[in-house]
Amino acid sequence: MKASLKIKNIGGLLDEHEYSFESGKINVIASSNSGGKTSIVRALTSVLSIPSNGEFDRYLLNEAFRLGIKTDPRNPREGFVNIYAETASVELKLADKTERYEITKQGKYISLPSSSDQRFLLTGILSNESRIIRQLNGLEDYEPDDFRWAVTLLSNAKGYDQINEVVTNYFEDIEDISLKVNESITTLSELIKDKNMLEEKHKVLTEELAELLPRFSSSKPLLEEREKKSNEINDLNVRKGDKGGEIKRIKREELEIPLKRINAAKSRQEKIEKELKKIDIAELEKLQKLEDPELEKNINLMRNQRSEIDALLNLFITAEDSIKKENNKAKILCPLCLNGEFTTRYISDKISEYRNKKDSLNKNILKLTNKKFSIEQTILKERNIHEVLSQDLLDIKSDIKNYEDNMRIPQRAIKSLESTIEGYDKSLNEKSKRLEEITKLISKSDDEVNNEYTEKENDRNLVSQKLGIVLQQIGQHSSIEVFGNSYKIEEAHIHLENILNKLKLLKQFAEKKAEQERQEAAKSFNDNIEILIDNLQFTNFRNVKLNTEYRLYVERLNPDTNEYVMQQPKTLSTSEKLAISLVLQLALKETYLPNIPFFIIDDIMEDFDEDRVEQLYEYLLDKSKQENLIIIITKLIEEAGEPQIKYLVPSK
Amino acid sequence: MGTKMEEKVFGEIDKLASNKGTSRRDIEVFLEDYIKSIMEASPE
Repeated sequence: MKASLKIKNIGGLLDEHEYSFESGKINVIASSNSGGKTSIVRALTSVLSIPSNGEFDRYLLNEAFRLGIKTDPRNPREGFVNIYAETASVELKLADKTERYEITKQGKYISLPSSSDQRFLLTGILSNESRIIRQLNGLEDYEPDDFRWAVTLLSNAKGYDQINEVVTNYFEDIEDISLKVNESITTLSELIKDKNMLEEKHKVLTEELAELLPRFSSSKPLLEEREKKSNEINDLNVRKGDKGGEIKRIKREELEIPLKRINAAKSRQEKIEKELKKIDIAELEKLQKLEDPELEKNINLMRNQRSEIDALLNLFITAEDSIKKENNKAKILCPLCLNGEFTTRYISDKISEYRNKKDSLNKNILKLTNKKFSIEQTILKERNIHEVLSQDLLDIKSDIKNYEDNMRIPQRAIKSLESTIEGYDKSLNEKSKRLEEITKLISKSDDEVNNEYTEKENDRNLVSQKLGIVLQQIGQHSSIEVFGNSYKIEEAHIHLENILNKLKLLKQFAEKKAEQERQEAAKSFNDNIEILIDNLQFTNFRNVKLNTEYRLYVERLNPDTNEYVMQQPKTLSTSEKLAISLVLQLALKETYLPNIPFFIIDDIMEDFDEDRVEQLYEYLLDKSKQENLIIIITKLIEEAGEPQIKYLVPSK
Repeated sequence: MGTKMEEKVFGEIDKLASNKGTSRRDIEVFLEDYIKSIMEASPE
């Protein structure tokens, strides 16, 4: 399998460059420091991982920034596109298919690949920026042995977990509505009792008033008019109550929820705006610009020292081998000075001295690299938070607008009902005045009976007003809106119970499936780790696997007792952590993305200790025989100039 | 084993969970449709 990569204006590489990679060999991208190795790696990683809609999932955005394949629009100078160019492009031709990715300096996409997989960022490339290495080195927020993310984010468990989260939110909404329904049911039963009692009282008073009528000696026409007006007033009071109930119902069903949501959204908006004000990326970058060159200089210095020590170490190891070949003679000729001799003691002392020096240098390199990472990590985190918060803010503003739009129709209905009530009030006022006049006009001879009549009539009036209020409250509580539809309260109660039961089943299903997916992923992951440990002949490790809680379990050979003992991953040496990272990364790729034919190791081969590097090359050469896999590593060379692709071919 | 309607919904959930492009909004739309269909069916 052959791949052709055409890149233009990526990172440090201005203009167009073309590179070829092949399966069947190890593809080595060699260049000096800052020579462009990583730019090629970034280009390849981008075209293999940028989603076809350009939007990374939240959990992968940080990785995209870290691996330098996403341009931050607020800081294009530090981005993916070369600082002297306006756009950058990558074209990857593999078999008969060509994928293209093109982007402007401001982060606007011109062309996006169609069959990429963003999970490649977590599985297909191993560099000092990779999540696994950062995690084992304690540079992540969670425990170094906690690999739940590897069986969740990369598998379908992530999808089921997300569904579960949304269902849980709906559960809470429905429980809120159910609570209201239950309150309304209790209130309604009390209100209906009141209504029946008031209606009975009204009926009795009307009968008593009718019985009084024959006792009037004169004023008959006035009495008839008074009876008519009084009935009209009663009727208006009840209708007014009804309309008031309708207003309250609309407010409760159609305005209360959006209002509550608007208030919650506004308070979230305020909080986010405050958070955004606190993020000062420019200040952090200033600090980075001050500290980075010094750190970089010291790291390079120590790497050079390590190369020198490596050369000396190899020399003494060769000398030790020669002694072994010459039947452990006490001395051998010095291969360097020709006229001197080495004693076996001297050689073993030197080997141990240089190993110690190399170990100490490795520790210091890691310490400085960690310091550099820590500044970068803070900036990346802040940028990531800024991006996520800005998007949240946009979403919130659009939500508020939608809620406000949805409130317009009910608000208009309330206005119209209020104007009807105003009309009723005007009419009630006029009718009450006329009633008062009629009462005054009634003949003096009828005074006694008229007083009794007026008292009872006032009582009836009061009862009808109370009845109006009770009807208003009944209107308010008799129906409720559930997911856009209005239901009678008893019906809503049954529906809600039914929905809750069905959602409970759905939640159980999603939970069970998420756990199944995690377990299956962990099993496959563990199987792949076992095969890799065996193939890589990393014999000082055994039983490397995720346990039932998805924590990394490692058994390491104790050279003193020659027994394997459990060891916390965070206590492994730098080189051992690197070895375990490689195994885990390869296992992740085998588990999740076996069909993407690339595996990239960037900038870390030099960090392995010399015994492992040999094993590693042997393994990679053997692995490269796979027709569907292109292995790419980067190598630091002293020779300046453009990156070159060299090939390591396995022996047949 | 659930009813036919539940089995259909579980199938839809499997599709949503396995589709890497599923957004939170897609899940909300699906759930709202599901809830509406429960409410349209007469309560058991």
